[in-house]
Amino acid sequence: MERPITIGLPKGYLFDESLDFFKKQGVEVDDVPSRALIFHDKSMKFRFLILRPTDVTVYVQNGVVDMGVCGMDIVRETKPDLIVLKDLGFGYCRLSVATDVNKKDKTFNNGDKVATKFVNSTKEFFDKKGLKVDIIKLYGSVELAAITGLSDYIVDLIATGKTLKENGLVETQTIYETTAHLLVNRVFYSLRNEIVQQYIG
Amino acid sequence: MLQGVNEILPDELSKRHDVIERIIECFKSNEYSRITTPTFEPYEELSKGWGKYLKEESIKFIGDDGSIMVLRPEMTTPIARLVSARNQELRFPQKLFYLENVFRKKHILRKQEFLQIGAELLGDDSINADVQIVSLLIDVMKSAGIKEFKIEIGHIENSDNKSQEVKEALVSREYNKLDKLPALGDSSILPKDSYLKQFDDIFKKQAPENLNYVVYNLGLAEEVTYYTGIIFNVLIDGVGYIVGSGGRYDKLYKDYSFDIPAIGFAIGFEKLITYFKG
Repeated sequence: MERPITIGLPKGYLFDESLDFFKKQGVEVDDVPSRALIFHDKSMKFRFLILRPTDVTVYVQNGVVDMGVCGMDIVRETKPDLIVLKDLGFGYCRLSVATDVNKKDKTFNNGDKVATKFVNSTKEFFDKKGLKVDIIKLYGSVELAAITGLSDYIVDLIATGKTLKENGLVETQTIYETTAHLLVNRVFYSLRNEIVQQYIG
Repeated sequence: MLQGVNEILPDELSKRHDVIERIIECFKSNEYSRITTPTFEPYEELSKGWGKYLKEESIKFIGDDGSIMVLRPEMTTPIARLVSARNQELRFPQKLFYLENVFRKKHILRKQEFLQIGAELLGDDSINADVQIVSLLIDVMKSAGIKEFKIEIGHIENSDNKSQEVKEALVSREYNKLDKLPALGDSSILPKDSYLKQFDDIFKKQAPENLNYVVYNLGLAEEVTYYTGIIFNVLIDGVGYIVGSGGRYDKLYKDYSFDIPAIGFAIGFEKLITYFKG
């Protein structure tokens, strides 16, 4: 039997819609057991891996998964060597700069401290402005950095802006907008192009 | 522990050698001669033909006299430097192969130290030379014992002739920004009068036995600035990353003050042998 087509799905808020996308393409899947890391479709032609969104690009690049779904923010942040096949349209967010609503001077200055999970995107953004800022890498609850004064600004993904508002922060500039995208491994793309073609349109 | 370097015990080494011996035989039977270059060289001279990528990814250190030295990150430019400097001792066209460890900063898809095997065909800018090098690459893959593989072939003009927007989308492989996917398939997708059509006509005559291994990909585009013509990648079914690549770089040697056309390929040996481990 042909080996199954392996698909990497992002854990978290993009998961349901990502799986729905493949269901719409005719993949039949029973309920996914909770805590499952791997599951198959009914025909056993597809194997799904549930991955952390930031790991999806790693798996796709190495060809351990043939296709994967994650936000374009992760592609922009890590610049992986793979093919971005399609904008899936859901999971809208924007990567934005935000700060304490009470901060008096909301312009950017050399030496500003900026806390973020998105170190590369942040560096690129400020480099383009010709500004040298100190970037502090964080792994979660980035808002706290601006609230507590760990940093002057934060750069983070914002969907509605509700969390920011509740925490007394305000968005000052958008760096880029992002939605979920379908990614394809380069070797799979070229050797299995007839399969890839089915996911276009 | 130092990561991404080659520590190989005898059993594994002898398996690697079997494959390497067969590849060397293949080069020799095609009248390619082996060349070697220094493991490290002065950065300023060697990097003349490099783009941003190699400048950033190469590993440098300070030499005895305080100048910057660099561990060779690939073999094409050290050979260009050497051949240019000593061109009067060589005849052209010159057919060379190499089999050396090269060094780059650690990356998700490769080690820091890895064995590169490749060939250079220097001083011949004909389509025949392009056919010859692609066919040699196919012979090398076959001689290594690999069965399910393809060489995907494109041409730099397929992205260079496009608008800036399309070109950027092709280079960054953001196909979501294209109106439709680039054509990919057998020779039937090639536009009349295109370079690749001519290539295919000659390939069919000169290497019909290797035609099965060729797939044309009109979307191939590279950030590497030195390619000027045909470009290609080696794809093995079941190995998830590109194991080798090559193309024509007719302006590279000028950077080393010896203006000759050149075409070649390089195979990442550590990537290639994952085929046998799978």
